[in-house]
Amino acid sequence: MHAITLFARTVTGINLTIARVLNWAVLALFALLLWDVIMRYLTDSPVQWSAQASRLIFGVYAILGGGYVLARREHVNVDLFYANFSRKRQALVDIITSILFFLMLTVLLIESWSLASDSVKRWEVDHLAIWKAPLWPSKCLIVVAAALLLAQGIVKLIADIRILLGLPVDEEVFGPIKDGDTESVDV
Amino acid sequence: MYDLLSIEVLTLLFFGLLFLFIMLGVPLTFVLGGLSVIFIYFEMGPVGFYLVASKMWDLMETSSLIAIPLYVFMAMVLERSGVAHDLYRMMHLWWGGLRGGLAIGTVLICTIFAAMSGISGAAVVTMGTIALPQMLDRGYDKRLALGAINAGGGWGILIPPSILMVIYALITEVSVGKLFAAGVGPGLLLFTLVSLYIGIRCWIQPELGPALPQEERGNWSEKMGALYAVILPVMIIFMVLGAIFSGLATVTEAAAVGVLGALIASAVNRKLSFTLIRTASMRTFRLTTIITWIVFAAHAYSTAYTAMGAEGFINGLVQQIPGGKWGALAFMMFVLFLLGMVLDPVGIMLITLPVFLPLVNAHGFDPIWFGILFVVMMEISYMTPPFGFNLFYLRSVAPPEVTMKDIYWSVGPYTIVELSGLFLIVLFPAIALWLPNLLFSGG
Repeated sequence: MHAITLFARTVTGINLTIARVLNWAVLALFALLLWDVIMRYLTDSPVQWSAQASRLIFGVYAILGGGYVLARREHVNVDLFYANFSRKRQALVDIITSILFFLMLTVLLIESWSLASDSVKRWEVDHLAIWKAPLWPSKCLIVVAAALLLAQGIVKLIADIRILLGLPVDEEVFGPIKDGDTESVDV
Repeated sequence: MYDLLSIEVLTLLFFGLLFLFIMLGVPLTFVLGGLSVIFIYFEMGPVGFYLVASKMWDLMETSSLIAIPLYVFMAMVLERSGVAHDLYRMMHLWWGGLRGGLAIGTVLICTIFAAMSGISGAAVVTMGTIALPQMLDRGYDKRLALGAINAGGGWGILIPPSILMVIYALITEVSVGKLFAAGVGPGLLLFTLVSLYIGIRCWIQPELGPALPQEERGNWSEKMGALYAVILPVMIIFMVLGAIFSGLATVTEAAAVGVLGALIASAVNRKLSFTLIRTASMRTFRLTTIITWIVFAAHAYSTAYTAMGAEGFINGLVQQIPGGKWGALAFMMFVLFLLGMVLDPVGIMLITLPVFLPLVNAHGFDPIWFGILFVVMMEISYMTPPFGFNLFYLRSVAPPEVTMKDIYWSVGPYTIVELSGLFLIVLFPAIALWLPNLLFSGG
């Protein structure tokens, strides 16, 4: 049991830390794009590298938080019936339906691995950009994003099994974590 | 195994499983992603799996999506910038003397807020906190007041900027700028219709929305003084929409300018703090992550759907619907209305568009016009029971004497008003298309 809790604590902790650091990237995106607008307005020459740089930042920003959002249980779902299930029934349904999650993430992990290793082999850069922006780090980070989400999914599966067995589940370790903000976010 | 299954059975299985897993409470992104993997396997075998990873890479390379975190961040900052409080004070002084004036003023603030923000939720919560207690104190009818906030609170996705339109444009490959421009007319139309409804209703039944007593209406110097509240919002709207519509900036660059405006607004109101930025930044990160994972899975799902050849089959089915193109349009709107009861707008858009777009094209509908109808329908589904998002937002901030039943009943007349607005846009497409045609006639 000790090893399992340690695993869960580590995974949740890593996802939490990544979110707390990476969320600031929105300010970088803001600064880059604003800088671009201002420079074009003032000097009539846009910053050559900023469009590509903001794309690279966005790509990483947009996908790496999947595990954190799962730890918060915030991936959008329909809780029309689900909300009325007992905690054990929710856990049972989640265990059975997790087959979809594991299919998707396993395929994503394997395929992103081959995408990334192919890219690393030729140290792939963007030939269209003015500066030869390296693309391989972003592709490697797809593997990381998939692994982080997959690991958090395993933690959730363990939590569901524990709930089903009537064992205590520490939410700080297994989720749903609060991280100091309980308000939901919506479009 | 695939050979044993006809396209009919396969399509039925595809949508049946989709519906089943969604109803079981499985997060949408995993339903779409998981089912895509299964169906890609049956269509192409394991060699097709590379599509999944390449869809994610495509998504990371899509520059139009960068607008999403920026518009969300802008809304999250504005929500706490104190702008809404000042607007409410201004509206109270200027409109209070009119029967139903506070409710009309509230939907006006919703309109202004929608023009600054690309998401909807914020306006309902803000107005539910600020305007609702004031209206109830002044003897306004509960249902009239609740419905006004409910209706106006959803306009964030219709009046530009709009996250939902960014995603619609990405999928349909229409110009985001044109789509934004097309939202202006319908937004103003809905505002006018809802205001007229409140005004006329309160004119006939003054007890629903009594005019404020003379001493509360303020004198001219107070009224003029309160007008400063509109300076910041108007400046922000002018900077963002002006930059897009004049072609000075792309939709994404305009978002960055909007973030600057929101930060300035909160600094002017002395609300700017590290906590505000951190909270806004973290919520932006969460919402962006949620959206991109759904968009990614939906890309994979759309690939599987197309590979299956279900498109032709569905098209054939829809052709059975009586009434030709208008029958098809009514059918699509009805499906959206039903889905709107259980699913969120981003999810609905990503699930239905692969199915709807071929129909839209086949019937010769303008995809920009259809996008506007789509968004209006989502707005209506936001506010209709049993599961509209706005209802629950409103419930969470309303005072205890307001029951869920009040909230449910409040939306009835407003839904009819908004549906007639939708009908007008169907009858007169120019309401939506006039502005984009005027602004972007060159391209």
